[in-house]
Amino acid sequence: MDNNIRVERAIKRISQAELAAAIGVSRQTIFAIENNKFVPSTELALKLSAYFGKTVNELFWL
Amino acid sequence: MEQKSLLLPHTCQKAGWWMLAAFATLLGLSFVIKQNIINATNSITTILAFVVICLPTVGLIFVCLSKEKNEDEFINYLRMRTLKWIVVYAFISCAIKATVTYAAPYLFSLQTAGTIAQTCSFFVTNPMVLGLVYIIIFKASVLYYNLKSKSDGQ
Repeated sequence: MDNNIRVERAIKRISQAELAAAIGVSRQTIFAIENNKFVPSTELALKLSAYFGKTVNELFWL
Repeated sequence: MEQKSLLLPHTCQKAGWWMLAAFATLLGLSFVIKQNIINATNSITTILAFVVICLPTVGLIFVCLSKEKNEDEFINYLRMRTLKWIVVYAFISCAIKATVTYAAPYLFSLQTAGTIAQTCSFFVTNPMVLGLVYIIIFKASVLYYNLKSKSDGQ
């Protein structure tokens, strides 16, 4: 499952560590999601979409 | 949405590592006593033997079954993936043990076959080996992602 979290993070100019702290996960989790190594749960996907002010479909796609 | 976790708190992991460190120290001490470098009474030797058996067992259980410092769903995913590899390891080692145990008497002398079967039994039936393999795989994958995310962080 692809995503554009890296792009959204670049637009907001925040690091992986800052995003991880804001969402309440570890830095490794953000790295793994960005590099398509890990598919987040629905809860985490919703948290990420709420943080970036986008819908889940805009952040993640098949 | 908080999910209930059956894992022990992270403090137990620290305690587990201390137990494993103490085990390594005592193992060295018991080796020195066995070589008669230090004169020890039988009771001390018995206590040492008991501690050397108990410490790694409890230590490994604590390290394997406790939470990481930053426990989240990705760490849980790594834990599940490690458990999958442990099942594969256990299955393969069982298969090798069965094959070697039955084939060894035909291929080697009885004494050599017995030694091979004993060595295989140690790697298959000893839960400490499984615990060690689990810790090595799990910690290595956590460390790998930690280092990769550090270099890719900005």
